Amino acid sequence: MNCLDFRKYGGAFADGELTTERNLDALEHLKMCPDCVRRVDGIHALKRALTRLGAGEKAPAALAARIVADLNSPAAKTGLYPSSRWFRIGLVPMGLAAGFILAFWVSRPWSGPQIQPGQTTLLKALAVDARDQHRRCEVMGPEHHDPALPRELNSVVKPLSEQLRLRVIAPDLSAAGYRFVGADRCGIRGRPGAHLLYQSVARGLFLSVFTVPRLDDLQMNRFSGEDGHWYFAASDEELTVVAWSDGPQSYVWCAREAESDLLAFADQFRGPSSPRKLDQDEGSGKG
Amino acid sequence: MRVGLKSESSKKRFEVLALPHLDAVYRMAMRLTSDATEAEDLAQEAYYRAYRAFESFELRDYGIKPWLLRILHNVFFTAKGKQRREPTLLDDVDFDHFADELPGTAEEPLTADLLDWDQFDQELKAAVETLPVDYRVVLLLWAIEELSYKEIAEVCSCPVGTVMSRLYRARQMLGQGLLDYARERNLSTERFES
Repeated sequence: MNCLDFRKYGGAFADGELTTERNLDALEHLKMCPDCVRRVDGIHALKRALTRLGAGEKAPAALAARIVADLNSPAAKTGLYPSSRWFRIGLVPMGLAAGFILAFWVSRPWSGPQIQPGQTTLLKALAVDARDQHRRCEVMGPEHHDPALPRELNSVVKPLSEQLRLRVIAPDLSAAGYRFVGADRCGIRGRPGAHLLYQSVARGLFLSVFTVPRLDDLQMNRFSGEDGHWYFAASDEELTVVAWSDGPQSYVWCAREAESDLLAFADQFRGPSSPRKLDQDEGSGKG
Repeated sequence: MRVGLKSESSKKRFEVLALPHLDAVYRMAMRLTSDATEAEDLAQEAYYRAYRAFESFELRDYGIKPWLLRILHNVFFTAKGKQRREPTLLDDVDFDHFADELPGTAEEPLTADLLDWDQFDQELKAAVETLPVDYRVVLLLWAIEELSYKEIAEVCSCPVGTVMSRLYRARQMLGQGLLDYARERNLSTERFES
């Protein structure tokens, strides 16, 4: 090793980061080169100086208390809400908005398939919950992402599926003009699930894809075909929700798209067989 | 792995593991934001997100400190609208290649390395603040948090070679800045007489 080489590796040598072989080469060089010895001394001295400068910097005493208070908040416990502090500050107006939307939704004629009254209420609740969660999360945009998850679309499926024990889907919607923005573990209807958020490249609007444990409390399999699949779609003037079950999980999509368009996006991901759409002939009558 | 409501024991475990590193998290937040109030907010947000992701954390060789710092790093750059991987700085290349940029001879002046750093506490502090944020972060993690190159790479989501090159350049930039300061004031720049 010569001095030029040592300049390249001297820092790593000083930090004990060289391989054994390179370390021996460096030591041999130092035996003959006082200049490089001084170089190493200088690196150690700089480190000591920086350590001395930074050692006294402590977090304010009140910060730990605020963090512990955060951990005790209901949102932290359930993990169902976005984690942004700025968003949490806005939860009250968001809650009011969700309340108005619910009131509007239950009062207007059902725009989806006609089913029995009890089921209508439950399906409406699903749609409202999905839309509420979508609205809560879309305001975060790219910040809607669990930093512990990979950023790449293809890489989030495995960790999410393992964590949630669900078959999470991460559709590539680039052909539909949507790019993947982020993934987090947000659920709907009180069930933790995977939430992938996408954004339209052209219009900036957001699209949500949720994977949650099968929504059995809605007794969806009552409307399924022989293969156990079903789907329903509903839309108001702003958001469309499409949902279907496949095995032990249910998939819920939500976007500012026409129902036909959202169904077209989701169609290729709805499983190997053709599920039946709930229609007004289902059940005993109209809702 | 359990999902659903976080239990009291999980919360307690998180507090025991994570809160002792609050000073380190805050220091890095200060390096990133250069503002005490913003640093507190950033640290608080990082802990909140870390708690939410706690069930996915696996205690590996590195421990929880690099994991926390990585979350902080990502929260900061996400909030700033930057990619998690910063665009490559002009001279921020892989370590194995940057030696090509060194002068062609070994007769580089050694005065930067001979600087008596003890004289320049305040100036050193000011000089660190002038470094690009990526260099500041790597320097802090190296010197104050005493992370290994691998751990720093984990925090910054970059290759180890990039960590090494950033450290090298950060040290060079610091040294040059303080040399200039010392020369202006006719202060001693050599620890050793030749």
